[in-house]
Amino acid sequence: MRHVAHETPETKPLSEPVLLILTSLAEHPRHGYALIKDMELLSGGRVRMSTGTLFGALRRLLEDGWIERFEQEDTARQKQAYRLTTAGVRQLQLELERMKQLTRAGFARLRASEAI
Amino acid sequence: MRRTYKFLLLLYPRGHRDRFAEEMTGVFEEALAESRAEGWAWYVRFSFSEMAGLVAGATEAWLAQKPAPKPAPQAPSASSSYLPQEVRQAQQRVDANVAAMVHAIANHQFERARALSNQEREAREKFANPARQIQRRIWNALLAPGRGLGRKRPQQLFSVQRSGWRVFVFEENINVAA
Repeated sequence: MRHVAHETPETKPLSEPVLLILTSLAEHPRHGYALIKDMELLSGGRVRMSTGTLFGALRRLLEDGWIERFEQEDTARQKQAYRLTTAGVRQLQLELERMKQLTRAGFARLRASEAI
Repeated sequence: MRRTYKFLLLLYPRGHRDRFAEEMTGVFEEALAESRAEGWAWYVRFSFSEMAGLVAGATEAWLAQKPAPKPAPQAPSASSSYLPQEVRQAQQRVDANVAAMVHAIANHQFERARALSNQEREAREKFANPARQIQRRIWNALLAPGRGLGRKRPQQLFSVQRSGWRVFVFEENINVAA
């Protein structure tokens, strides 16, 4: 069990699927299959999400109001696409800041240990 | 494979299916076509991953479902508490009739639904105009013998004048006026 002081929905670290979805949508809106492919690319082929996992995460993000759904005109047919909301952008920024801070601290300690 | 996928989608709660099933099937079919092109080993891996993902996703969707709010008991609301008893009873009869009517229609019992509809209309007429009901009650109260306008005016027996005070003695009560 993790013990994190003052953990609120805003400061709570995001799960990897959620972070990947938000990062993928930060570029431009995407539909389901394009999200799966982009997440695979973002993770260097490490993460290949199943449709069950993807749509579970999308449902939670829609309920939280971090993403929104809209009809995207496609050449073949109309597809449901997803885009970030302002709240979603804010969450992604917070998470990336948190990771940046952690990464800096981690590297600083590594450098310090190498110097000894 | 498609059939199995669609069958497993039935594991999801109805709300989730209505919202996402079509889209999930579309995404699955795109991914399936790609996995077939990548060889049988990839296809088997993909199939297991999808099936396991569906079962896990359905479990999570059921767990995430909020319980439906229970209907509040039929207590007289603050706005209807002023209504006369017979109006409130008529209102309750209408509510019960409407519920029975919906049930009858859902079960294709149209004769019964029509009979209930007639009953409902009669009951509704009784409280169609609550203001008129209240007006009728007030008039009845005012004109009833021994009360309100129908009441006999109490007779003054005598009055006593004292410094700054005057006491009126009636048949039923005593009034003091400064």
